[in-house]
Amino acid sequence: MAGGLQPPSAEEEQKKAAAKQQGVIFVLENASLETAKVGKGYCLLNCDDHAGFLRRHDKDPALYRPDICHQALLAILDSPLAKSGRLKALYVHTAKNVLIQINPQVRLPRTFKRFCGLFVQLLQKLSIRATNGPDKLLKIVKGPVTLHLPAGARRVAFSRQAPDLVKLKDFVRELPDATPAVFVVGAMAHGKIDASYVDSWVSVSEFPLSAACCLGRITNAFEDKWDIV
Amino acid sequence: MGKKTVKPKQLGRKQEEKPNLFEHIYNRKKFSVLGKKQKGERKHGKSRGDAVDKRNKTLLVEYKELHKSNAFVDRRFGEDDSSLTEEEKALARFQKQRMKELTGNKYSLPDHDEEDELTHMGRALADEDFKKVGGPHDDYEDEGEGELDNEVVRDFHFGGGFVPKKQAEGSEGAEAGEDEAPERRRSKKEVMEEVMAKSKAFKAAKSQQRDEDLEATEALDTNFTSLVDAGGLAGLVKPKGARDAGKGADKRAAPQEGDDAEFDRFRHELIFEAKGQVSERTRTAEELAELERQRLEALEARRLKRMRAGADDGDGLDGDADDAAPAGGYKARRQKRQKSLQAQPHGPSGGALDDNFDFSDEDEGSGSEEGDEEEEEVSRLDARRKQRASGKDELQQLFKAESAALLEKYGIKASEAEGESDEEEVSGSEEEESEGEEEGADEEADAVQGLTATTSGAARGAAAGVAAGELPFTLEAPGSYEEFAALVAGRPAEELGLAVQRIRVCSAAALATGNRKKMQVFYGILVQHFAMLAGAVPLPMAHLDVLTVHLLDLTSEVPFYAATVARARLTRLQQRLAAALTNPDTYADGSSAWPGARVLLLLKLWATLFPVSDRRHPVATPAALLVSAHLALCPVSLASDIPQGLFLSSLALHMAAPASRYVPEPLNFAVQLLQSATAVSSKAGSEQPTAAFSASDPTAKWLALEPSREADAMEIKPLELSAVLTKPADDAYFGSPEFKLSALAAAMGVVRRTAELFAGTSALPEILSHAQRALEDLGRAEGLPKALEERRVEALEAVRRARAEAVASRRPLVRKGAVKNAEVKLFNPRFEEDFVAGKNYDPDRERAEQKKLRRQVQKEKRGAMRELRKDAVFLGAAREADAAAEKRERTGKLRANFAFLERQESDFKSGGQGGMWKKGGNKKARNK
Repeated sequence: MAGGLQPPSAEEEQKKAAAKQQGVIFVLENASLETAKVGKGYCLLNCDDHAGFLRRHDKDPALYRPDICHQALLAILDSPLAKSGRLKALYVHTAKNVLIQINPQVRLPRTFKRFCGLFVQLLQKLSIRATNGPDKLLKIVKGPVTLHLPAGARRVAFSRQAPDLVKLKDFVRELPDATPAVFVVGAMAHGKIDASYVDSWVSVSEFPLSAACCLGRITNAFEDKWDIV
Repeated sequence: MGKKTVKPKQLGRKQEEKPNLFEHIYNRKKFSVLGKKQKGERKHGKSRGDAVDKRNKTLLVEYKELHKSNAFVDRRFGEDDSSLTEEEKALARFQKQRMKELTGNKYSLPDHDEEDELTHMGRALADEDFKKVGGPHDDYEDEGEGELDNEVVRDFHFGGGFVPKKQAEGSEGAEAGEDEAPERRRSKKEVMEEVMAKSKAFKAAKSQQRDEDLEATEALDTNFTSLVDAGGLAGLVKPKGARDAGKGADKRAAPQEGDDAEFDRFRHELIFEAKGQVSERTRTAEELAELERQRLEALEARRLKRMRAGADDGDGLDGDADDAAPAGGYKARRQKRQKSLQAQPHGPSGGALDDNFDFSDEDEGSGSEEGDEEEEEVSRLDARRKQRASGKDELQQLFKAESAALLEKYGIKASEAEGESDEEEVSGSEEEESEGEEEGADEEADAVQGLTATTSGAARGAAAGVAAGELPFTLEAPGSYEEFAALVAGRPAEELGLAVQRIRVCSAAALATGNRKKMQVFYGILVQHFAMLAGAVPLPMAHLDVLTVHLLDLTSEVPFYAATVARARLTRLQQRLAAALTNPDTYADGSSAWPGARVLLLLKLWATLFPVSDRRHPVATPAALLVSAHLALCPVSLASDIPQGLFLSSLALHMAAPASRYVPEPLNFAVQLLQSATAVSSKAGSEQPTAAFSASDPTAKWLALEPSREADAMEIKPLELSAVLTKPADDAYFGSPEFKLSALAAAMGVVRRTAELFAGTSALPEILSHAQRALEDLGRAEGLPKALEERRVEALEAVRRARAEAVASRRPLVRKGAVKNAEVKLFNPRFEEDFVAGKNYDPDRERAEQKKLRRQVQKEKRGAMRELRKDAVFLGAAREADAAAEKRERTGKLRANFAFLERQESDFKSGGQGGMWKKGGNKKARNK
């Protein structure tokens, strides 16, 4: 059809429809994803394998916990929420101030070893492409993360020390649907995240929760809200 | 104070490597990686200086020698070492020279002036003392002592290579040969002599041995002759004539010795020991068939003998064994012929036999060569046969007349019947698919009347002949249907079975190659006979059962032919149905489009013979379709059509059941029947179930029951197939409440069975909805007999249960496209297990290699360009420096020249005062 107007492709329409849908954005703060040259090759530092190496470099091995980040990412990406396309974006901010943008459609490696391999390559090459598609699935982007968050989004961070303890289901139900919500969760072993860009801090349990557990609660709450079975 | 403790050498190196801050380039770290060495902290200035130095040594040198035709290369020792002073260099050169002289060239001969001289045993050869003591003398001085010297010279000087050693030895062999014998190499002559000596000794020894042997033989001979003469050997030699006796004596004598006897006995036992019992071999199918045939032949022979015996019973008994064995040769035949001729006048059964042959066929003789008895009869009957061929035989005429009368009785003209029977012959002998058979079924219907009449036991002259006689044991497969019909006409079912069994045994396919063909023909005949019997008015069910069993067996023997026969008949039935439906007037004479008993039974036969569960079967599928077509298309115009419809319904269900295939026709027919039973008053509630029954008259209430006391008390009898199917259409039975009850019960049975059969079908509620409504309507009707009401309630319960179960088993429909949350597509990240930065992970190794090479080339190219650029700059600088130096030199010279000239001029001007004189000065001086 020369010169005529082509109707938009089905994929485009689907994308637009998905964009209209409500969504969630997750930011994992303070993730300990750090590469180092151990021996000949590069590794993702973790407390189990590189304790000696870390001590030699005057680092505290307890802080190097990439497995927390792995669990958290799997908890998000394996949830029905993500499978239904409601996960709009996913960012990981590392303790070394590297911001990683993760495509919600990525299928992350299940095993920790392969996860380490993936992130070592990502941190050296700065992007990872898909085997079955042209898109960059993981990408190191310029910070701060606020550059990438949609305008007007409600930004919520989670902390046990937060003054208001909320029931997550109620909290989620009351969130406005007009704009996507941004949830900031710490993916570290100890301590408090340093997210100055959030609007509110909430505590969702009387007990300290692991990142994966907290994310599971959030995704469950949204699945309930949006009737995703 | 620590500085002082540092060793001087280390100090020196440290001083040498003291970083020049201006030569350093620093790289600001943006992102530190643990364990990684930082790049970029290199001494750029130093490397640049190194490059300049290198160029000075190479490029600059070349540049300086650019236009020179030759070059002086100073290769003097130490000339390159700039650290040495001139004196040191000279010293080093001198040392080198001396060393060279001292070590010297090993091939160069020293001068005589020097002290090198020849010595022997530590003494100089030139020494006077040495000569006195006995050192080597001059050969030429002393001839007498020279002999030893000569030898020494020959053997040792220059390795002794030039003087022939052998010659020398040859000349001195006498003296030195014996002493040095073991070590010395022997000459050829010696060796030859030794060989000759050895062979001579060997020959001598051999001849001596021969002589000794000869002597010993002669001695033995003489001893032997003397012994023979003396008779000492007489006991050992046995005389020539007594050889056998001697053997026997030996044998007999042998057991006398203890051990030998034992051994011999043992040996004999072993020889005659049984190796193993021979058991009877397992017989093959062919052999078994052959045995069975032989048994039957023997029995037949005995039977014939008994039959004919009458007078000569004793003979029969005596010759039983002879007869039982198959007789062969002319002699036997002659004997038999005589016997039979003797028997002929006495045979009262001869007439019956004749009749038998008369009825059964003209071509009997052609295939009757296997039995002698038959042969005889054939010869006996030749005359009659000729008569028969002309059609003038009185029995034939009798038969014709009778059959014509019979046919007339059933409303068919004789000429027609004849034509049909001709066609029948064709169909019997020539397979069923022949075209002339299109109306075969109808013709059979008529032709069968004659046959069935015989089965009714009427004593008919032509057909009863064999019935009176005994069934032969050996029966050749009949070539045509008439033959077979004649054979089995009027026989009870057991005999029919026996006849078929015997025919099958005698012509078993395993026995001969032609038998398969015979069996095929026989199969066609059997099917035809089945059709004939099925059309008989009182249905001979026992006969049909017997035939079915055999047909079932035969179908597996000739499966392809069986299918062909069945398909041919099915095609005809289909055509008949089509004709009946398009032109209903054809059947205005009381019959209807519904098939008769024969067709029904044939359909049932095929449902039995062929696997109905097959999804697609050449016979079962068309048969099932035909049944359904009858049910769906034939209008029920009379009450007498109902039993046929019911039969077809149950048959259709029977055919559909094994594969649980859904067929709607039986249920619809049954529902229609149930509706026809509903009284007119309840008509408002019922409606026509489907358009398929539009042909039927909806207002007809064939099965409507009037409430009556006697009907109420009536019991439900199952419909008697053989009775009901053969009743004429206008029989009063079809209007009786008994029939109505039975038909309604059967219809309910069909509904129940359908509900049970299709229990798994999800569409069952819809399928059964009409049935349920019809049953409910029937329940509303008044005056339903109790027995029927029970049945109705049962059927209704079954239908309701089946519907409820089907509804309960239904799952809600899910439309895949309408699922709200469609799963997003997931992508796999592409990464390597052990990633190394800079490594090419292209799976195409060749491409990766090419890329690597291209990169290398580019890198090298860039490096080369950089080097060339820097070289050019360096050369430019060198050229400029040269030019500057030249200019400077020229300027200097110019200046010097000018200065000289100026000086000269001033000198001249000053009047030889060297320019020192000045007027004014002088004046001044003078003035002072």
